[in-house]
Amino acid sequence: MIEFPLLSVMTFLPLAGVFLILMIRGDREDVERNSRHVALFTSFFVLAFAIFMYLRFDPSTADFQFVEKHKWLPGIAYHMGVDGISMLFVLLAAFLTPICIVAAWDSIKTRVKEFMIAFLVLESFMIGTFCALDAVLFYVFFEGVLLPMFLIIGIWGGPRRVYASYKFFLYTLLGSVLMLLALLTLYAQVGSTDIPTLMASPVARDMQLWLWLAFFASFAVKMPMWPVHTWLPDAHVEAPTAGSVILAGVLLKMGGYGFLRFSLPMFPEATLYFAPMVYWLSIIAIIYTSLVALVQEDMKKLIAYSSVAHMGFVTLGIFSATTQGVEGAIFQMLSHGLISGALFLCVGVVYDRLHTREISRYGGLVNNMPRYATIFMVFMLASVGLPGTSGFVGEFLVLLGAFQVSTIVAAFAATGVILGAAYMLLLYRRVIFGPQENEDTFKMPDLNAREYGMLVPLVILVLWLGINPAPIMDKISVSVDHLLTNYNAHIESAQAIQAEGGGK
Amino acid sequence: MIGFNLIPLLPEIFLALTGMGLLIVGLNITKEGRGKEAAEIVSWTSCASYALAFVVLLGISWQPQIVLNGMFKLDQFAGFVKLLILLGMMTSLALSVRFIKDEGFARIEYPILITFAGIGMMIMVSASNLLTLYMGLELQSLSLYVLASFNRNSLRSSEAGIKYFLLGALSSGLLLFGISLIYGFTGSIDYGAIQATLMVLQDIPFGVTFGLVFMLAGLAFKVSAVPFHMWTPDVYQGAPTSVTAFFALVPKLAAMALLTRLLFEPFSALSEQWGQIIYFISVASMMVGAFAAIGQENIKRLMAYSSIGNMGYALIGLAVGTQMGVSALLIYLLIYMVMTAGTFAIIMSMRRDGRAYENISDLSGMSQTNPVLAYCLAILMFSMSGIPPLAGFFGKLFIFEAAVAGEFYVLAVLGVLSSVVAAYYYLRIVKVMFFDEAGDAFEGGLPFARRLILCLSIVFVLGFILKPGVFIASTQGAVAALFAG
Amino acid sequence: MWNRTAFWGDALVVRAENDTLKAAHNVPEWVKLLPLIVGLLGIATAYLFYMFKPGLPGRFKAAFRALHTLFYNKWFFDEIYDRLFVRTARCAGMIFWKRGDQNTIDRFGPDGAAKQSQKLSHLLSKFQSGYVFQYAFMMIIGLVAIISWFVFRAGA
Repeated sequence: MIEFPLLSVMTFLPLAGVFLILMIRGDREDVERNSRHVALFTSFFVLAFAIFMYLRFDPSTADFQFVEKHKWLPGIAYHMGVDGISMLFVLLAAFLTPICIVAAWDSIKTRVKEFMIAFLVLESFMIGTFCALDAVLFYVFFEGVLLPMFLIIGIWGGPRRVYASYKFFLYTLLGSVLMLLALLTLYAQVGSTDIPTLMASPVARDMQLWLWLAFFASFAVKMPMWPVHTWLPDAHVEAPTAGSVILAGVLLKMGGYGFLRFSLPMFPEATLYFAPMVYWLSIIAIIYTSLVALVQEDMKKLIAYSSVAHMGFVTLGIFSATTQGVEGAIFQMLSHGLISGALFLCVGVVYDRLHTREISRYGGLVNNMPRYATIFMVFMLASVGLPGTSGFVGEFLVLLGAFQVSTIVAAFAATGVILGAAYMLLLYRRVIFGPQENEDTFKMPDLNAREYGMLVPLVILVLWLGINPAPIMDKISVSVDHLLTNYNAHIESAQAIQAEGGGK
Repeated sequence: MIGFNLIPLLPEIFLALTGMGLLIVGLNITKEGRGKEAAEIVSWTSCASYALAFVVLLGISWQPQIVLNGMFKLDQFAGFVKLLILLGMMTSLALSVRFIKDEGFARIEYPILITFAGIGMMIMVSASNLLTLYMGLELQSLSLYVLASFNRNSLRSSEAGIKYFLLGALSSGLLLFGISLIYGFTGSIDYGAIQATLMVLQDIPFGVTFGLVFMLAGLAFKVSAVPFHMWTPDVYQGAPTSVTAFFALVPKLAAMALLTRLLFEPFSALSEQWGQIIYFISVASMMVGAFAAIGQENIKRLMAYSSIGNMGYALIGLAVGTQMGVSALLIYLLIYMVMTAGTFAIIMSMRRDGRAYENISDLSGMSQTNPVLAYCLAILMFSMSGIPPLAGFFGKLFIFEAAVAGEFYVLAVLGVLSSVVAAYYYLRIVKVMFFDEAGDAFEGGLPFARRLILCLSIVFVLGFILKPGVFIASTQGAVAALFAG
Repeated sequence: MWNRTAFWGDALVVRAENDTLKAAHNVPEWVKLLPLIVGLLGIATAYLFYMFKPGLPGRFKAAFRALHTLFYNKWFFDEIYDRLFVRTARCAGMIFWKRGDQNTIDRFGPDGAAKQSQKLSHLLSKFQSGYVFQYAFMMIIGLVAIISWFVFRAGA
């Protein structure tokens, strides 16, 4: 049987869609309608492939699967493959893209063709990032994401879009170029940019510390961690709804994925050394940004700050380097991808009707939009981390993992959960309940079929994963075990060598 | 022992003969009162002659050989760079034909001067003696001075020519003084002899270092490296756009190749000294190129700073001083050349009501008025700022790879940081085209040559990622020759 | 018959010395009766106050003014919480947002860097005066600087 290049097909299928859209001719309306349809169908195809990949994935091994390897540059190969950690992120990206395209269906009115092209290019790069098994290839996709996102924020964004798009682009670029240098240094040291090879050949400790910092610069910005998070509220607020969804849903996860793929396995000693710093940065992120979220007047900004806080849990979990912590972090990333994406969609629904994101302009929506209120409530509670929703599982596991490492850290992080409930409930009360003061708020119609179409699948998934997290946990557990076994083995051997050296 | 062998010089001889021949033919047609037609005929014929010279160059053997009593050397390095020079000449001339007609200074001297500048550059690349070096350099420079002031009716153009000439004369003076110092201390102007002399010296005399500094200052002027870059923005802005395109495409490549050969052949023993100088001017160029460009309003001036910055990155390859570094340098220059060609094809098309526009604000809203051009320019700008998966990223990748492999960490960090700053002004062009309100459309469409070049440039920029191996292999082969000797 | 150990399995571990459920069976008899008695007393008092002698609550209120206010406002717990937690949290949020994010991180981070770059750019373009003699002077300064570097190094 000839090996079917599943990952490459998934990565480059959107580009084929781009090509098709470019071919569309005719008058404006036809072009717009057809490009919407092409984009949607392409993304559905990708999703179908992704589901196929999910079903065919063998969770009993930590090896990379669906591997493809071709010669590309001298010393650098086109190497693709997924393991339990990356596979689900591919699925997440493939799942959110069609939803975003549906979300943009009516709300993007200008340059529809370009928007769809940008989105498909974005999907291609996102999937590529999670599939790449060569560090340089990873970097190409990781950075390439900036291009379509810059245009999406800048062209279709809000009033301060130029500032936001620059800030997003240059901030993330600054972090990433340092990672590029670190990658090249690794290449010079190890002689390969192949990720599995790099994982198997750790470099000297002093070198690890520098390289870890360089990678951290990139992933911390992407994540984003305090204090390099300030690009996120601006980018989220200005981006169109679909852009915010994909930004919160997938792009932020690239940072966490990077930590799992590079920092932990390649620089175990440095990770151990810097872990306390990361704990404290995470704690600050959780509490600080939760408090900031509490006083926001802009719905999107509030959710953006809440994302920073939730990502604080993710970094905490990852660097606790315990099974529960890492599994919880991955689960939290996936669930946050769904929940925060859904929350942005919810904001988009009312924004499309009233064209404002100011919380005080709304109120009493429960009267005329009961169905919307119900769906919003599910996501709001999921974001708070109510048991029975997917938000709970991740947060709980992360706290469990953090508790094993440090009681104080876990205690502070748990405080964040309370604050999270505070700002989300406040948001919900002010928007959905409360007095209805504005005439136009009262006239807003409830959800239409298109909006149901994009929100209901998310509701189902969020609840289903909350009740039964097994579909995710089963797939990741072997890979996470493998990761942590190697991590601990590296650290033990390093400590043994150090002890030996000290004895002499 | 030394036979009289002119075969390695065939392309240069061929170009010189056609250049002179075309001068006579062109003058005759002009005399008949058909000046504009003459310019077109001579231009396209010259283009064809570059193509022929290209074929001739491919036809002759690139085995390293030194002819004319050690004056001239053809090896794979020289051959490869000459191919690029010829391509660059062809591109810039093809881009010019329509432009000089539109701007009303279509005269036959234009293509002839480009031809002679090209011959000068090819000699520079092949120089194996400080005298040949100087001859080639001056032939090139004199042609370029005239070209810069070619639009006699424009005050700016004349000013640019004069400025370029005066400062160029100063740099030639520095270069000559350096050469004389080297001659005084080593007793020879032959590359091989200088190398041999310097190899056996235990302590490098101070005079030699002085000579090296002076020579490098003279050459840094040609590649417009900081602090010898001051002419660049003014000349780029003042010269006719087609000439600016030529300046940006070719002479720097030639000067860089000349510099490379000079440093790795005669002065290989002084690598510690020149390493520091190149390090310094590389960092200074990257920084100045990045920061000074931020406030620019004129797109040609912006391209001038961009070229200063890009030369800074290219110089990293030299500063590292390894074979890897030089082959990264070559591939960087190749990619830069292609991107610049495409960019200038678009800049030349910024015309409205029969006038050329060259302010960045004139590009406002171009994505709606001229979408195809806007997307092309956006791709080129993203590529210039080094964002994958475009070609410009790979240029930077190889340069930084070489820097990191040579453990020049500080240089690499400064390089990437300045590339982030530089990204700002490249993005600004994208921002003006895509995020700002639409202005008036540019008219006149794209003439065939410009369209072809733009197409090729975009295909290269987008497609480099698919088959990078081809280019890498050829540059590595070229550079291997330089290090073999 | 429902068995809690069978149902919860290992999920809930109850050590023998901590088994409060079993201990609850062994308290003295009066403890078991206490809730009932207090409940009945409450009903009786309410009946007394509001049905039998309706003037009593007013007198009572006048007599124990402070105590009544305290009870009536639920021991002021809401106010204490508001002061202690809600306002502090909002105040801290404001400080972090305005002073922290906007006036510190952004001001000294991205915005500051952008502003400084603009300034530097302005400064650099001042050098570009257009005068040839200044350009030549710059070149010479550069040359002298490089030479002095080597002289200095040779001396040191």
